[in-house]
Amino acid sequence: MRDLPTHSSRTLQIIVLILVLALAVLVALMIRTDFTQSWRAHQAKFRNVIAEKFGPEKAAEVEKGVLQIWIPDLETTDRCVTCHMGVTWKGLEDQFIPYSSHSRPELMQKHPINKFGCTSCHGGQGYATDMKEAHGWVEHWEDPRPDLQLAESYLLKDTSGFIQMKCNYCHRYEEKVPGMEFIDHAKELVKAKGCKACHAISGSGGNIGPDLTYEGDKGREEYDFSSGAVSSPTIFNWHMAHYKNPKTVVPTSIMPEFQFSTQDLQSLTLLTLSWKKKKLATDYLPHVKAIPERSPQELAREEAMLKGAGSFFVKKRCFICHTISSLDVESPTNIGPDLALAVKNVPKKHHMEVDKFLFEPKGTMGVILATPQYRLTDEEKNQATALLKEAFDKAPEEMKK
Amino acid sequence: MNNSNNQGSTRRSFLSRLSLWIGGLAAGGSIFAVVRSLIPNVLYEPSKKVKIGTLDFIPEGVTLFKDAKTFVSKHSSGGKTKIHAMSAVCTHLGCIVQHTESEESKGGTKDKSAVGFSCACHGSQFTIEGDVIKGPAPEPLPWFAVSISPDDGQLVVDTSQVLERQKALLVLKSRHYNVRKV
Amino acid sequence: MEVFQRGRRLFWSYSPQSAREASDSVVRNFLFHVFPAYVTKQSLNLTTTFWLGTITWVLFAILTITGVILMFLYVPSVERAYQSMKDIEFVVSYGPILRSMHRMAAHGMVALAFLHMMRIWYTAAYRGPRKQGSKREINWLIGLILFVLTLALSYTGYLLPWDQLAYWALVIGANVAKSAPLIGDRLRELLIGGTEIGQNTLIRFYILHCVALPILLVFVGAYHMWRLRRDGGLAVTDRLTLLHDAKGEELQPSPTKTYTLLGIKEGTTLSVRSSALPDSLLARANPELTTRLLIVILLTHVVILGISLYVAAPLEAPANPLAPPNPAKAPWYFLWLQELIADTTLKVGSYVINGGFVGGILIPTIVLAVLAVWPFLDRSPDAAIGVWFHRSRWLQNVLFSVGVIIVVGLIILAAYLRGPFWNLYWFGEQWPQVPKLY
Repeated sequence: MRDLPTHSSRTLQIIVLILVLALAVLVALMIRTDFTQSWRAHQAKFRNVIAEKFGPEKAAEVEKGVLQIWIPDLETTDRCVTCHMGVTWKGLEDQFIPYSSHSRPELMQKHPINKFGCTSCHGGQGYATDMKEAHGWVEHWEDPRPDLQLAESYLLKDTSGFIQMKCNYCHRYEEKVPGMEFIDHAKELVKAKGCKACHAISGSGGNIGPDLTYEGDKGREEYDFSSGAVSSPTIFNWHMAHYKNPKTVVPTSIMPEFQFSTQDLQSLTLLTLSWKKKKLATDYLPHVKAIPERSPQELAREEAMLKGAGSFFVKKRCFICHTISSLDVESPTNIGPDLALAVKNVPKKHHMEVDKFLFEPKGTMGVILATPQYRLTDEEKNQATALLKEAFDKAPEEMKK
Repeated sequence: MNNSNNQGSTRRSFLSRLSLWIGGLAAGGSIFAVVRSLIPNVLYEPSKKVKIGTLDFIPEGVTLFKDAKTFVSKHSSGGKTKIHAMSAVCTHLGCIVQHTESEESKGGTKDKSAVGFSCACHGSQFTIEGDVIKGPAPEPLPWFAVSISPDDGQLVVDTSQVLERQKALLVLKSRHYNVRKV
Repeated sequence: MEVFQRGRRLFWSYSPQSAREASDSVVRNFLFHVFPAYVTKQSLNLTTTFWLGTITWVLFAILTITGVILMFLYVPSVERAYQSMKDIEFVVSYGPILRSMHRMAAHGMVALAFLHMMRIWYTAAYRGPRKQGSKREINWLIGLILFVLTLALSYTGYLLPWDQLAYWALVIGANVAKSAPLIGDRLRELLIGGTEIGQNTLIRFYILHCVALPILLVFVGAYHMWRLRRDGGLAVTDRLTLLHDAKGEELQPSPTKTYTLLGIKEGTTLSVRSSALPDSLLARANPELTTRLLIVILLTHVVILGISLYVAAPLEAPANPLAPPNPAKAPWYFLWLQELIADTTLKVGSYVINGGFVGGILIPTIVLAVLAVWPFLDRSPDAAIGVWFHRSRWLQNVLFSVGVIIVVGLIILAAYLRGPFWNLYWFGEQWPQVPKLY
């Protein structure tokens, strides 16, 4: 048997003691974290509010713990009501957020909270139970709940515009929905400005520009901010700047400038961002009258544009800027003059015959015909000239004067 | 005695060697079965042939078709429409490349920059045709076969079929394609 | 009371009452039976090993315990994986701390395993006196396998949250496998269970991470420890026996000890030789080793728990198969490989070799192969064994240090200087901003 000490040194024993103490303190700190979560304080305050307003019996009935609305149909899990406990109560309108009732009970009635949750309208991170995370104001959550400051930074008076954008996930096929002024306005613009002449939206429209049906799903990596025309790199800003002047954002774009007002820009941006591919169970489909089909007259006019004498100008995209009234070609923008009178107006303005003009274009047309999208072959130029003469012949006499 | 002992030991060693071989074969067979069971015979994956719509639904220029992870380029001029489908998957290590074509200003005149596509993962760059300009990508982006489906006339991209560029380029005579019937 | 004491004597011998009880404790106590009865005092010195291997084991234990709890909370399905991570983060009591501990311990295990390897190299502990038939080189090989297993565990682990980092790490990893010549395509298919990353892939990596790799690591690790005992303990013990030999006195092992190992090898094994060292050099494993071990265990727990209380484990946006994050970066211990992958595409005439193969397979294989054969070719004198930075090994140490500096440099380069599209940005240089929705 070796004669060696059977006890470790005092120093080691003290180190063990210190470490055990440290571990105990850390474990205590760990245990504490679960009891100091901010939602617990909110729930306690809410019970006080209820006790003051409706008596302690009611307060005792208030649920405790993490509360969750789970809607598998919408793939939504919202724990917002853990703090925003007042939303479904009546009579708490005068309280501060998060203890107050929902400010729009009529909307809540149509969109019951246990069928729609919170984030499907408001955005934010439904999973979270801590304020910053829950409102989505964190790095890796791409759908934050917009706040007033954000709305103001886009010159909006409140956050309702952002919510309307989310309304339109489901309401996209309706013409008008009460309370969705921005979106309604944008839908009117889409019709009035003839966006579908160039863009396909929801399965119909032209193919000169990209299909916009699911434009809202475009990832942030797919946007190009290299032009420098967008003030701060947000997708919202990109669309605002692009609708205002497409060429400054996408230099190759042939989309015309439409002279939109700020409100137009906001509306269109919100509408564009609302075009997302969403899975919707049938009972979520809103029972509202859809955007009406085109009238027979409108369809006939389109048919005439496509098949009639002026179809050349449609095919060659001249119609983006020019109406040719006598050939039934109508421009959605009317940026350039009506070409029905080109035969008369060209010599006046440019001092040359129409026959020559397309071969030696001047002014704006000189620039436009040089871009690849609008370039014409000589054969096509002759064809165009012939058609312009035909258009002039067909134009009514009173117009020519 | 010695003799029989020797015989016995040879037989024993033969028998044990035989057992070892047969046992080894059985073990090898089991390993084969185990590995084979882990190679799936059917896949819950989207089809490699993707219908991307009729010709008039496809915008001019470069469009990413997300279902097929494919860029489809369409250029119409002089009564002809040229279409080709090119993989959006980087040939280096499989990230999705971004369409980063832009116009550069060179001495007042605008020029198309050489970069058509860029990869975020390791910085490879490709021309609009898919050739490598820069970065670790070993091969150009492959072109896929595009055909017109005989049933409904939609264009079909077959992402399992990589073709040479000349064969992959589909040239169609345009009819009244430019504006779609509503 | 008597029952309690008898029970205590049966199972508990941490604080022995007599010298006999003290020597018996390592046999009587289930937890202690892996230790020898006596260890050299020098093995217990902090500067001998810095307890790096031990800490690695402790971290593995933390990982196993937190990992088993996380297995109850995590759903390995493409649809639910990310959601279950969010649940762990927000609605599981102590979930974030648990996850953070698992993540921090994983980082720690990779780092400590590597530091342990460095220690072995710099103290020439991968070899023993050849005259005595030492085979420490084999334990170095096993150590390399353990290190690869640790990396594999980390890789399979950070895929499971199914966030952007996970998904794109998987894409890159699978395509590195694909870039291998001849078998590449089949290898990738076997790895991800199909031609595209999906449910098959997730469940494969889940089983690898939670079952296959940990079991393998425990077995190989147990062999690692057994070999350590068979080789006579730490390399410093070899040094002590060699010094003893040099004095001209013969080591006289106790006659009750086994002289052969399973009847295969005759003569005195190294472990038997080292047990014959004089008392002045030895200490009882219990309590000297066990107390220090307890300190290491406690300290590791304190550090990991302390960090986890204040540092959250990262979780990126849910996986999006159509848009890699820009830049898409691997965790730090793979960044040097990612940097290599991005730089090593070779062009020989018209023939091109993918950087995925060169940087992802060829270079790591060569590095591992060189490390594996090095101890067998090492001709440094026995005097270097168990000594930090022995002068006779300056060239080897410089070469190894250069390798370490290159790896660390590549990691720093990739971590701090690579911006969007893997472009170089100098320290402090502004990256282009990543766009937000609004």
